[in-house]
Amino acid sequence: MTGLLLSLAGLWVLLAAVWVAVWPLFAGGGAPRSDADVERRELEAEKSRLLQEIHELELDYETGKLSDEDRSAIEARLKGRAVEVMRRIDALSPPANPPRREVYTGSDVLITR
Amino acid sequence: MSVYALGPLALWVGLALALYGAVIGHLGGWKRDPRMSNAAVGAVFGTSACVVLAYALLTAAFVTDQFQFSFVATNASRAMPVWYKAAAVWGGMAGSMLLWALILAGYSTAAMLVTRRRLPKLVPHAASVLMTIMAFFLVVMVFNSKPFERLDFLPVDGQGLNPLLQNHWMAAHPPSLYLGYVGWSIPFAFAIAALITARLGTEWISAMRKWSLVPFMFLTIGNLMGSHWAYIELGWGGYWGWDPVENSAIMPWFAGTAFLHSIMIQEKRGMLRMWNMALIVLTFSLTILGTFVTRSGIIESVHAFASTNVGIVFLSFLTFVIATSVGLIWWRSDLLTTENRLESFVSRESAFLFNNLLLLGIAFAIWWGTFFPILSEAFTGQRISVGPPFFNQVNGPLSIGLLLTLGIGPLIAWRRASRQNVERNFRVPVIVLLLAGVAAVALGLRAWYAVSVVAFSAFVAATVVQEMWRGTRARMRSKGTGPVASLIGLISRNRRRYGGYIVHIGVLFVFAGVAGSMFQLEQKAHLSPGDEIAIGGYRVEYRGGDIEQGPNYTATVANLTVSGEGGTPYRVRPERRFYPSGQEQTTSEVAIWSRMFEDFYAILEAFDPSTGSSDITLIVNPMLLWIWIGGGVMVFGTLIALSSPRPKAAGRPDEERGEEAERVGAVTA
Repeated sequence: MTGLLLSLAGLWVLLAAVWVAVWPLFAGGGAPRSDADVERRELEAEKSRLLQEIHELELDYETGKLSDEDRSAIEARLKGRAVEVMRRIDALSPPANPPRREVYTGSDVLITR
Repeated sequence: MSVYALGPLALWVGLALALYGAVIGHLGGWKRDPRMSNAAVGAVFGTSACVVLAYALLTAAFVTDQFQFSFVATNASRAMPVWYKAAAVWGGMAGSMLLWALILAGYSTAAMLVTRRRLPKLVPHAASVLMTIMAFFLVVMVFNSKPFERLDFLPVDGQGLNPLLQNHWMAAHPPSLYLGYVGWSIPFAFAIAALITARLGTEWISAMRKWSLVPFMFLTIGNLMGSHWAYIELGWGGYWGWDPVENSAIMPWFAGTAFLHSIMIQEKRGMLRMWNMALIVLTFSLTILGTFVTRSGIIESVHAFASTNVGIVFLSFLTFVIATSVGLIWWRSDLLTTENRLESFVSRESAFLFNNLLLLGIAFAIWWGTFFPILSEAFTGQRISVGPPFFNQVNGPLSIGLLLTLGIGPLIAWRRASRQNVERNFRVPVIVLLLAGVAAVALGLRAWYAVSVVAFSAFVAATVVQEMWRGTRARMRSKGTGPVASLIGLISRNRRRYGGYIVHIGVLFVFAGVAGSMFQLEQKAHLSPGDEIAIGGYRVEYRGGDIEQGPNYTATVANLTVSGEGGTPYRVRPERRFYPSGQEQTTSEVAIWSRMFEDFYAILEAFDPSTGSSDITLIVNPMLLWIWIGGGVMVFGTLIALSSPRPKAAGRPDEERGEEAERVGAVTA
């Protein structure tokens, strides 16, 4: 009896496995992610990476691994790129459920909405 | 219907779903069809469920002595403890393949869950690649090494697991090693996806950093467990014999470590794109090669390889992996050109590149030494052995060079190191290097290898301490906190970097252990009860032998009392065990008195019950404990690096957002 129940449970696992793999083809794929959403996510990831790099740049400078000249050059490049990325994020249409976000104001200030 | 009938069925259904996933993922990615892309992810989940079911059934067959299955009857016996029965699943080819598939299922499922929203364009192709790998292993289990193959008769008992493998370190070693091997499938799959989709920037590199640290950590643990097993079970006093199977396990570690370092250059400077692609392909290929070497029989002889088709199947898959990957890299070569060039040979980029070359040099030397006997047999008909002296002579100098880069890499400036930078950062570590070298010679060390290891280890330790001190001091200034709070804050805020430094400290300990063990002392003696013998700083008294009965073996035991310098006497009991069932094998169970700076190691070679005398081998291994301590420190450092939080894209606390604004705002002013 136990063997039969275990066999049935195993068969159910296999059927569920097939269902999980095949069902999405008939499920309509859910709400397709718009190109803007994908781009926004990618830009947000890029921004986070740039901010982390800026943080590490400061640490490298503090621990003597960058000259003043190199620090300035790299910092300007990273921050310039970060500002550009933030501008592009702001230029995208807002997502359906917008998270709180930063907006580049054109000067040296970021405000939170 | 027996529940075990579901085992082969689960493998067949899993294979069908894996093949379906391998096709539908690429289609979904190319057509940008979300239904097909979701179906590929669903195929990963479905295939994983099938593999988990098959693995659970095989484990149940082992634990409940289902000897009607050939694989169970060959690798288990009734007298084996339950734990070893469960571990015997991976004691042979078919079970090892299923363990590979199980771990791949776990990694693939986790990777899909974590990355499907973050990397939506890469995920369908990555799912396809993972399912292609999975399909290969399922093909091997369905058509070749069948874990559920039945015998024509029902044996009363099984042959039992090889007694040498009945050791808890050996039981845990294969899963850990496979967690390391298989884990490289994830960065490999996303690298291939990046090549297919032409998204070759830092996106996949950043996303795969932690997915690369995990297999690095498990390969470290797996190799150390294997070494520890060899040390305590094989009874020759060493821990690494440059055996082909050991070599196969360590090669991906070197290639993967090179990859972990070189991706930092791509993240920071946009360089080495093609190099990183090549490295991840190489690392993954070496994991397949390692499994192939262990399982194909090619190591024994090229003829043994040719006598089964498992080797040919593996070689075909390996060829497919390499050819496809190289083809894709060639196809995308225009997009893999570097953003920046190497500006100076005195720079961090250059140090990392040099470190990469050394790591790959070691991996190549190991590959050459491992495969030369096979190649010589294949081409000349004569097998020319390559022994430990070759590996030690080639890898010794390369390892010393590698040790040096461990110190130089973290200190030297990016792009181009100025004279001021070199003087400021290297003055103290170089003084420490010189003092340590002089001290080593003054203390009696003469071997160049040992003196170099001591001096360079001191250099690396000084660089790490200096780095931590400077970072702490900078944080004390900026935050106004005390030294301890600043150090904790520094590590906590920069876990990737300082976790890496801690790994380097662990490597130093391993080096210390390896260098120390080269000063091994050994003495053999025939001892009667009451006899005494001296070795190193120890006096050893033989107090006779015993015969004892274990759960599935009979043991002869020698009783030794060891007195160190001024310490309390310590009792050690080396054994020889005889396993009567199945393979009728004898094993040596050494006795080890492990101390901080040396191990006392005793081997019972033979015991004569009529006279009570024994043939004993005694060994003193300096510094050996530091290999295991170093491994623990490496794992700890990796865990710290792994614990670094992933930057969140949105919805962060105001304080963090304020810091962010401050960082970017400063430059726009």
